[in-house]
Formats: sequence, C-alpha cells, structure tokens
Amino acid sequence: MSPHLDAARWTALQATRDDALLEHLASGCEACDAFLAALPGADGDIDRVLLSLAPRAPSTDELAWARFRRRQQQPARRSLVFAVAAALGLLVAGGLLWRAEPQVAVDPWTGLKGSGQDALELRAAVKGARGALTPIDDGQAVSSAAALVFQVRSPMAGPARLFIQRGDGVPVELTQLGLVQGAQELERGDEGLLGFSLAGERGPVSVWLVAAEVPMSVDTALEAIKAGGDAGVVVAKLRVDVTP
Amino acid sequence: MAGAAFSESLTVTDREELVRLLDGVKRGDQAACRQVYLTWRPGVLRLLEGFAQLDADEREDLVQEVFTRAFRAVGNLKSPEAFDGWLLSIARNRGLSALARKASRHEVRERYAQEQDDAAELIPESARLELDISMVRRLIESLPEGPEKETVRLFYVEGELSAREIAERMGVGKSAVTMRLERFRARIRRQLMLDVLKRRWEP
Repeated sequence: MSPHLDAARWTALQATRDDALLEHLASGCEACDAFLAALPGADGDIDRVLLSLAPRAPSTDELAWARFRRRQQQPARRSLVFAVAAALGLLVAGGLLWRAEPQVAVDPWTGLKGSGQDALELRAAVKGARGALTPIDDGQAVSSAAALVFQVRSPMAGPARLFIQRGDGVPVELTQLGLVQGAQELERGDEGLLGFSLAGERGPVSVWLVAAEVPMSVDTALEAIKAGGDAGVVVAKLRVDVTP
Repeated sequence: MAGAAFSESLTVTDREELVRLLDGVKRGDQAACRQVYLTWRPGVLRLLEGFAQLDADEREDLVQEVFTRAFRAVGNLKSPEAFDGWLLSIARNRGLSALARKASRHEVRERYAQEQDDAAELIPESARLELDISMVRRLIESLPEGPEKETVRLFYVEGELSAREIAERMGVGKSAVTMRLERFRARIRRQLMLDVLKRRWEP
C-alpha cells in the first residue's frame, strides 16, 4: 500500500490514530504535502498569520480607491473614461494640509491622463474650516475661499512642472517639483504640502501637471499639454469651477 | 481573530467597529467601503506580490477584482471575525487563477483554478485556532539554512521585497521563488494538521 495520504486515508486518519502515517507526514513528504495543500480551507488564515510577520500600515492611496470606485461604477466603460478624462480639463491649486487619513467619504475623482500604471494621475482636495480634507471631483464647483492640495500617482520618478490655466488662457507655471514613482502628496521643498489658494479666482480653472523622466523646459511642457502628452512626457489635468 | 490581523491597521480589532464597517459595505455605504478598502488593501497587495510571475499592472488589477468580489459577496460571510482570512483566500484564489491563465507551464494545481470563495471547509475549524504567529516563527527557525529559508525570511519576515525582486536578488527564476513560498505554506498546513490530529488523540 502506498505510504502517502489520499482521500480515504485522510478520512480514516481523522477518526483513528495511525502512528505510522503520522510519522510519515512529519518527515515532510512532498506528495502528502501536495495532498494537504489541495484541501480547501485554512488558506486565508495561513496567509493572515504569515502577513502578520511584517504588518503593514493602512493605505493612504486615495487614488487607488478612486480607481476602484471608477471601475465599480463603470466597469465596461474604461476606455470611455480614458477618452473623456483626456478631453476634460481643469484646475487646481492651493495650499493646505493633506492629512494621511482624511475622514471623509470619497467619491469620484478627477484628473487622469492615460490609464493603468503608466498614467500620471492628479487628484485634489479642499480643506475645510476644521481642517478636514474633502476630495473633489473633476469639474466640481469650489468656493474661492478654499485652497486646493494635491495627490499624485506617478508612473516614474523625475521632474515635473505644475501649471494653472484660467479659462482658455495660456497655462502659467506655478512651480517645479520632483516626483517619486507611486502615490504622493505634492510638496514644496521643506515647506510642507503644496497648496493653491483660489482667492481671487473665478470661473473655470484648470491645473496641469507635466512629468518626465529627465528635465524638460517650460516650452516642452507646454507642448506636451497641447498634445496631451508626448514621448517621455506625461500629463495630468483637473478642473474646478470657482464660485464667489 | 480580528485582533490578529495581517495589517497593523487593524485598528479594526474592535469587533463592533468591524461589524459596523462590514454592515456598511453590505449596504453599499461608500465611506465604509473606502475604509475597508484602504485598510485591507496593503495586505491583499502584499499577498499578490508573492506571485512573482505577476507584474505590477496585473497585481493592481487583481486587487480591484478581489475587492469587487468581496464587496459583492460580503453578505455570505459567516462571521465578521472571519473577514481577514476570507478576503485573503479570495486574493489567493484570484492570484492563482491569474497564474493559471497566464502560463500553463506553471505548476498550478487544478484546485487553484477552482472557485473556492464559498468552498466547503475540509480543514476543521479547530485547526484555525491552532494557527498562530509563534508556530509560524518556529517553523521558519526550523528550516535548514538555504534558499528556501532565505526566500521566506525576505518575503514574510522582512516583508519589503516582492517575490519578483527576491528572484532578481537571488538570481533565480521567478517561478522558483513562488514555489518556495508555496512550499513553505505547505509546511505550515502540514504542521497545522499534525498538531490538530495529535491533540485530538491526547488523553
């Protein structure tokens, strides 16, 4: 008789002690391990304990949540979302604090250019009177008393330029930044989070973020904005409608 | 069991809070969904990083698929305390199914392609109670020095590198790292079974 576990021996083992088989199992038989591995159950608990060896903090990747929400809402229209996002535009800005765990209900979302991991994504939030941050949608009306802060997901590390465009005017550079690959809040050197005050603004305002792997000129960035991206240069945009 | 979660987030160690969140998810409350997603996303992503054959795009897609399935099926969850393990079992099944789709040359057992989210539990519930982090640490310590132990240490204990990065660092194929991790999980499962069976027959 084969020394290995099979369905019949497994069932019998649970009812009757079999020292020979237990000894065989304890020896680390690969065939028996394979049988045990094929039994459903306990997988999730094993993974739970294994992952507890190096616990991880909760995610602050609001962009990932926004992507998830978008996918849930329009699962069959991803390509359309891409096209619409590319055609949309607008705004941003501001300056306040982006806390790691804003206690707000998020919904949709804003600036996206490209798709998947190759996309540069730009998202904004407004800071409320009590300091809470509320993510905003692309095209959303925002009070001129508000200030915007930004979260970005970049497909690469490299230099970036941030522009603001009032209405259909020419985009004006706000600042230069350095991005890391992945999700991050936009910061201005050691001064903390980069914010853009909407005070004095009216109507549609767009914010453009242009990123590349190597330094680029303002002209190159503006060309990329016109073209919706260029070789080695990625662009993200979001818009707000500033109200008095 | 909620207190032994795989993420330190699990600030959701409070059962009432966990119940509240999961009830919110069932109702489609987006604030609850968001909190659950952000809390458990790191662990799900980490699990998927153990499949070296999957690239970052594929893992990201799978994370979304896992939460889509989980949010849809959370009403079937037997108890809130089982949420961690249940979610991770969905993630593992999705990962293995993706491997099966991706390359038939991988040694992916037939069970991996099966839908197991609601599978009958053939391993007794009592086994789960035996499973704890100290047992896993002992098993790691007992491994002979060598590539498997180093792989397990890098992936599970240090917890920084993905399986793909470990393969590059160790100069081995991606599938080799995945199989080492799977082999270690098989050891845990075996030890779990032995502990349960021996205890059953103790006077």
